[in-house]
Amino acid sequence: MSKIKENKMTYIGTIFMIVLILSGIVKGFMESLKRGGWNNYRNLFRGQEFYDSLFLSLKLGIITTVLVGLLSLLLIYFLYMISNKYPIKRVRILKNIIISPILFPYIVAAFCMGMLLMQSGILGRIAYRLGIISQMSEFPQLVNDKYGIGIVIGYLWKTIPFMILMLYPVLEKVKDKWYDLGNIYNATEKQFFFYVVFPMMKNAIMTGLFIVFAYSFSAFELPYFLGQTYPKTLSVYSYLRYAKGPFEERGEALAANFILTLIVIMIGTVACYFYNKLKQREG
Amino acid sequence: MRKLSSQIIVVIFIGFIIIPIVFLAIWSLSTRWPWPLLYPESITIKWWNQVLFESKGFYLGLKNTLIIGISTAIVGVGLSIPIGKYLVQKKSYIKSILEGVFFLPIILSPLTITLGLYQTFSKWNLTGSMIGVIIAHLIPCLPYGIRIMKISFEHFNEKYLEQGKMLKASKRQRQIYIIFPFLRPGIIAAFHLMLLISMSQYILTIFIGSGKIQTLASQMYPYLNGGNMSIGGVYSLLFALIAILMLLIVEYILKKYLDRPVKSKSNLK
Amino acid sequence: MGIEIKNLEFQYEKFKLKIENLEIKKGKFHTLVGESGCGKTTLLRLIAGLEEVEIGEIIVNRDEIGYIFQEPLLLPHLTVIENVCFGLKMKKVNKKKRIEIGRKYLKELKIEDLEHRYPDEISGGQGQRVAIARALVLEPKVLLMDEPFSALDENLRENLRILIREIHDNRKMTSILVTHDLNEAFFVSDTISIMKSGNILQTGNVETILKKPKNSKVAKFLGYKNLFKCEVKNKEMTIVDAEYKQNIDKKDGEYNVLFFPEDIILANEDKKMNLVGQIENQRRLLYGYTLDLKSKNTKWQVFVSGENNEYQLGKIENWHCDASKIYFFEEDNHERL
Repeated sequence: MSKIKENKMTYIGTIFMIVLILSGIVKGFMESLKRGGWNNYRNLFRGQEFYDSLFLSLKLGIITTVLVGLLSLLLIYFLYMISNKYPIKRVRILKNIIISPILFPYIVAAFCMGMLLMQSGILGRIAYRLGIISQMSEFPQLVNDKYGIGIVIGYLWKTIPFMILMLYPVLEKVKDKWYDLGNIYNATEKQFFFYVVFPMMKNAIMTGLFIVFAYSFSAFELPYFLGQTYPKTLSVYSYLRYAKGPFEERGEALAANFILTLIVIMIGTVACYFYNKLKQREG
Repeated sequence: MRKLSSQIIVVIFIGFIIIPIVFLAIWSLSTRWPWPLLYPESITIKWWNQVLFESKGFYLGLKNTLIIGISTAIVGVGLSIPIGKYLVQKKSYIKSILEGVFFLPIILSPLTITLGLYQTFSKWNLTGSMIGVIIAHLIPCLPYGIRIMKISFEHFNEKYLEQGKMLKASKRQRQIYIIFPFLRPGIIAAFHLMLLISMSQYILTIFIGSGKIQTLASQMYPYLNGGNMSIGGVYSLLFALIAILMLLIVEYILKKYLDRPVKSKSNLK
Repeated sequence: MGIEIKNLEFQYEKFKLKIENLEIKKGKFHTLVGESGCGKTTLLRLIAGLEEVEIGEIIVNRDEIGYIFQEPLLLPHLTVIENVCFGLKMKKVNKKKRIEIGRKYLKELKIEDLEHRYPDEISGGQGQRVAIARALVLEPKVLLMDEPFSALDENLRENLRILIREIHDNRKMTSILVTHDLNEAFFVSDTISIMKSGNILQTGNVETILKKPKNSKVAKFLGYKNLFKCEVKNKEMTIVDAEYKQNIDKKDGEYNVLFFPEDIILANEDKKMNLVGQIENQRRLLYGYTLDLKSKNTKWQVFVSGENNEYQLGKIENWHCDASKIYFFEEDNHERL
């Protein structure tokens, strides 16, 4: 009796999820074809704004991912070194401090970046006090700038903790199981990290970085608050066009949105393919 | 020497992480903090007073945030358990694709998915309503919940169930005494995470809620966006504190509740 | 250079490991046997340097130690050859030389064709061979093994036992094996230490321990069943609660004794009756029978070899045992059995 009930729940749940997610995408596509049909796409591709937005999104995504990759690996390496010298409870407290930004929503992250990096922000004031600049306007534009520096730093503030959240459990697990082996073969701390710990993190690193890339490519909040009026990222572009633009242009807005979706799905499929190939070597 | 450099680097990272939070706190306690001062003009708790005691807005936002968040988390856990279990049983091509679909909201901004749904939501009168927002929040939340429950089920050894069958436990008993305790950490983690994700949603709430549903996130925005930075700081810190508090409460309740059946049984003659 | 342990004390879990003196001579194969939790693994880890010694002294050359764990612990992202060369890589030996040495050892352990496989593609027994090769590659003079064969089936275990003994002999190593399997210990070692609750009950070579267990604890561990308390008065020995009489040249007093199961035989004209016992049970072994006897309130175990007639269950028989074959315990003569 309850077996049937169980299956029902699964079906309901699955259908629910599929309806929500897939129909969101499919509907988005269908709506993008209303009021103009394929012209929506044609016009989109003809305009310069689309490409500028797309490039900005890609740029931000790639730079963020590369930086997050390097920095979080560095951080986990040093956490590892520290865990060899200090009791594990203290290391865990340290880890919890490091992942605390996860508790704050992205809008707070945007706010913090603004507070620190705006010309009138904290860094600017420090520069002024140190005599590096003599007025507010001399401090470089770090937010609402054309390079998206503030956006990237904002992403870093949230995603490095995310990566540490994913990598730290692997660190503890590997040390638990393999530490004796390293000890017996007189592996130095460095050797143990590079030849034992790091290889076992590869899976988590790849999954994590992929999520970071997809997110920083398609996210909305940070570029919305900290970005420029031109170019906007693709996500901000499509939202603004939909919500604030004229009714007739909604089709184009949804078209931009759909392209965004398509790119992410393609990247996702490619990543999945490589992931499955490399998954064989899990420990 | 190596010890020193690794410590310095970790301190730098910690600084990077903590400094924004510290400054949030300072802002929340300052009267005014004009350029180019490195510290506020004076310290005051009036902003905290204002938010917590004088205006009603915060509590309305809090109420909505918690109602939506907890509902989302409960429904989310309820759906994640059967789906997670389903994904762990015999793998098929279709299932892999399904898994991919469930994974999408993690990589796609929820707004992206919901943009296409606005019309549909509108048709069914879900826009501007709490239920609509809850359903919308499930989109970014469920993938994480499913992922956590799936991992929980992967670690579950069928043999425990077989042992239960041999010991003549009914299906219901097996569920309560064998499966549930095993799933408990996963359920707690999934609940936490989904609650946190729902609480953090801003644009989604604004969009589907048509601006009518006030949550902490939506209330924070005007302050954070060039408004009163001190109140913005107060809201941000309150948000984090509530998130931590909810984590602790949920953990406590779930531990107590899921422990109960076993305890009361031992009291029976 | 052998291994010496002096006055070692170590707290582990619920027990305290206490070893006053243990010496393992160079070139010997020594086994630590005992039930789970008796501290044998902990002792091994202390010798290896995996745990820190705070009280006491362990004299051993740490540079020359090889260690084999219970699980093969092969790094899953490395091939077999890379795993085997792991120790060399830590020593910064160059790649070409590493592979050359690694292949040599793969050959010796008869696993050359597994060279490029990954750990998840080989069986448990093959995995342990890889682990052994990995340990040997560094040419250790001392080999420590922690129940390395416990997860394998009997056939594999026997093959690997023979292999490990061969390697030990060929290289003239000093080896310490930890196991809970008594048979394995007897099969492969020169000397044995029997451990219980953190203490060593007896150390000695195999024959000595079997024929002269120091006390009843050791005897019980070895599986001896005929442990009794006896009384000698006027050169006559009786056993409490048993129908037993024996003339024996020993001082008056109470003793704890052990009867070896193969020394109890049916009485006849030459072999006078000492024991009257009823046959309760008869069980077939590979090379004979074991009989359970009951004499008043005591139980005896008798081993009869060969293809003899079936014994009648329930029949009461007269049994004989040579006085010279009765074993009196050195220690604990006043201890309860």
